[in-house]
Amino acid sequence: MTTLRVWLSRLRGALRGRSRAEAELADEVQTHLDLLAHDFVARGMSPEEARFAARRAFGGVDQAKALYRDQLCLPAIDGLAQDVRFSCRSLTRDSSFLVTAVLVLSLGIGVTHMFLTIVYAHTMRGLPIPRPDRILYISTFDDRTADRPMSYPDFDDLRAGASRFQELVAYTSTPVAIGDDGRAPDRLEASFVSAGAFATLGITPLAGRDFAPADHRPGAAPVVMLGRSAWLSRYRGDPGVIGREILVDGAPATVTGILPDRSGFPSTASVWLPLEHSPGLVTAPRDARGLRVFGRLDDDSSEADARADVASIMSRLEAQHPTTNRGVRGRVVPINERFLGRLEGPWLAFLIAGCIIVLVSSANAANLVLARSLHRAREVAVRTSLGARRSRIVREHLVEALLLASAGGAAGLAVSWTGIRLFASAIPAGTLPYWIDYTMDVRTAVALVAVSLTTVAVFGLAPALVASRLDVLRVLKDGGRWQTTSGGARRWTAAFMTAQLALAVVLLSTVMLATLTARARLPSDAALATTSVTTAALTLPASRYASPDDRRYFFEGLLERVHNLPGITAAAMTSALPGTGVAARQLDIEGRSWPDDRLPTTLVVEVTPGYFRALALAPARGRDLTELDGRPGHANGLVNERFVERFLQGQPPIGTRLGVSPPDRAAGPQSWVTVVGVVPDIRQRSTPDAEPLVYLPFASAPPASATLMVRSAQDPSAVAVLLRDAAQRLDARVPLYRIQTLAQVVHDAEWNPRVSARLAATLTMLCLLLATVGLYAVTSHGAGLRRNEFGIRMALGATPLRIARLVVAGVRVPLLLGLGFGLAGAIAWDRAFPSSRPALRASDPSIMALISLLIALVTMAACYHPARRAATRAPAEVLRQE
Amino acid sequence: MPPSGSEVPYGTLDLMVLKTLAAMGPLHGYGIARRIEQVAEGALALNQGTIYPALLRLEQQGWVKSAWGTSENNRRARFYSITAAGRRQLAAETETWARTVSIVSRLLDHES
Repeated sequence: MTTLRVWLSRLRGALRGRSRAEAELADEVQTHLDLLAHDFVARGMSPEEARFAARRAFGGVDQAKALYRDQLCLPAIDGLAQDVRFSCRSLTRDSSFLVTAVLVLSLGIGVTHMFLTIVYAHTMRGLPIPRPDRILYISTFDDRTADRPMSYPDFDDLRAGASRFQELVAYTSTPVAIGDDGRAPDRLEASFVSAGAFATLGITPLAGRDFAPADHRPGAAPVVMLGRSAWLSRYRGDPGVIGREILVDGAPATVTGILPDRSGFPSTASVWLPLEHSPGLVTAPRDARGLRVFGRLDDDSSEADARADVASIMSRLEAQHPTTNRGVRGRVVPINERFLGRLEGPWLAFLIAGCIIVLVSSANAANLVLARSLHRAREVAVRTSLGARRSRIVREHLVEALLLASAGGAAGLAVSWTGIRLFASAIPAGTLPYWIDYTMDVRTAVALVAVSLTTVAVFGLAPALVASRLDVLRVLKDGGRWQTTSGGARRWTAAFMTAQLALAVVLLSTVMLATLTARARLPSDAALATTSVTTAALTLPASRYASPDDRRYFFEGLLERVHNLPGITAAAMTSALPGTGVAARQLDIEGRSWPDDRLPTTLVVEVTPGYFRALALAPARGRDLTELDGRPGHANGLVNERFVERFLQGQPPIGTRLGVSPPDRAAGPQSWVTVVGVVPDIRQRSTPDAEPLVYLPFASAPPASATLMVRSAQDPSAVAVLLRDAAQRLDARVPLYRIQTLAQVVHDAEWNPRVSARLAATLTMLCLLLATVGLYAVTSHGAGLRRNEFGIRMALGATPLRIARLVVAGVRVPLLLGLGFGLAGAIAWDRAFPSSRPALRASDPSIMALISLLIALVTMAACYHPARRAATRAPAEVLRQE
Repeated sequence: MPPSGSEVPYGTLDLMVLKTLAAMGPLHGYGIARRIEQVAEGALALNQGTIYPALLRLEQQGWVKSAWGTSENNRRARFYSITAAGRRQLAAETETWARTVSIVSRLLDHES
């Protein structure tokens, strides 16, 4: 109790600052001395004598003050403040060291923190909802399907029967067209949600109201909620839109409210509708499983209770509906487990890379500190001999390390922030779900501090201990010449240097090979990267375009109108644009048998005859599709060259008959087509190289969702207006969306490999930079140790060039070893993970020569300063220091 | 008056200061030192400067409190006074001291 009070009082003293208390004490002491002297004068002393006598009676004034001062506050804090001031002074004196060390640390800490923030956003933060652990996600599974959604009747029974949930909610997503009178509609991602969805997720409307229970009754007046961004972009934030009727897929619905941004549940939705208004949903059979279900647990129920609850209802449903629910069970997991990415694959790699980077950069900082402590050996030795305790010396080094790490952490935050901005900007808008957000929060801040402290542990402690074990006598006797590193430590440094260089070389080689081979250059690439082709997606509502004939009729009408627009030189429909991917389908070739009856797969794209004309590509062999192809009796198709290479070696491709399974993986009958032409390779997915591809006539099976593409010399925005207008005239309820040039489509499609390539290049640059700093630290350390020797050599006539060569020779062994191991490692890596289409191997002499040249340049950059310093110092000056 | 006589026994200065303040009421540092020396009648070698760390110690414990005032020669001086907690502490220490003295003296008597 009393000790606590004393401690608090002292802490107060420490915080209030000593100066006032000391001034007061000085006052008090002076009064005391005056009173004493006064007494002595009264006893008959002369004023002069009295003053001396008073001082004697008082005892040591300074000792009393020092004693007072030690009690006034906490000596530890006081000493710390002193250390901080001292370290700041000594660091700012050596600005080149300060800049290099902070640079290395900030890059290490920054890149690691950036990786942590990204991995955290993808795999840990989860949905922005209150108490996410209480929200459980419920899906179904049976013997054949590992995981699938739920049907409306099952959900309805579950909602009615479940006793462990406050609320059970279902949703399903689909794009819809939002329109109103006179204006072209927008295509937006919509989510149909059941009653209580937003309350369960803790989302409240920004304006207007949430759906009421009455809105969810079948037959209720249709209502809709809009997301803030859609409200801003389409209605310019007009509050008058609330309560107004707008058109959803052509049918009127009243806007009840606006939801905030960052509520794009489940992923990127910006329109919400009552689940019961989803067409055909309520009457759907029990085995039409398309609903995703989640619920908030009762406060006094556990996850296990909920699991048992769901299991008992599902087995009851199985008993009641044996035809549809045989073997169908429920799976219950916390919602974040369902939505979040797992910490595996690339995320784990990110994390490991982060750890390695931070260790390497702090080890380099340690080398820098060691190199610097050489110059401070004398100072430390003098202070030790004057009575400084080892703990004090260690503490001082640690304080200095903490200061450096703080500066590195602060600069690292800037590095991380910039890196995350760059990373995020490379990802096309709308790709990531709303809950993935690379902002920093308390936890990422804690991570930053933790990472910075880790660096202190690595680069602060070791040099501090080395400095404290300094052999004082030897240092003073040798005039400041001091081996900071024992033989063992020196070998360790050299090994570290070697490993670091080898790592940089392996990375360099891998990145160089990847840049050379990642994207095989296809002749079609240039044709695709064009702004002369404008693309626009559209989706025909199932309610009015149910049959293939309806859809074919619409698309034919659309193409006809588009063809007649001014300035359009070619127009086509396709089921999937280049680069945007497409599902693989099973392939059979007439007269071919497959081992184990395992059919190979191929990509299949449906296109209208103008497709290759619009892309300005022509068939290499045979002919293009015509309007007739796809009609009964004209089951013809095209294949690309890669297809011929892979499947049709040694047989004339034209005339071959191919069997292709239907698009939805259902085991439907194969449709057989005859190959009439071979077309150039186009990268259909963002793969390094083109894949085998079959083009079928669009007219034979027109999909509901397709993309229009037109070629025109006009400005793309003008073309967009023309296209929108043409589609409006045909059917005002079918909006065109995602209107982009083909160049944009291809660019966006490549974001993933592009980001990976940039990250790999950044990492490599970082590794090279760290290796450079490491080399610099080691050479400048070595040159410092030998400065007397160099002085003597120069006095005896060695040229500066010769001295410089000696300095560089100090790192010759780790340099050559690192390069050698690195090249060997690169070749081994290339053998173990060969690229699919190697343009060059790692063992290629030109690659090895290029890397060696780069490393030589790096070495020269790192050694320039130390070598120059050693070579230009006047011999007399060096020897005088003896 | 130069210090002469025996040193202040370790740990007893705080007790002496408390006792002085209890007996005399508020005093400044010099007043306390003079009073202790008067009572000791020259038998104690007190370094008057050590009064101040002792006073700080007692104040941090909450046993004395201080206020600024004016000394008899019209200078700014800090006047210390004993607190209620200080009186309790004084009573406890006095008892401990008496017990210690009686034990030690009995022990010494027995030895002789």
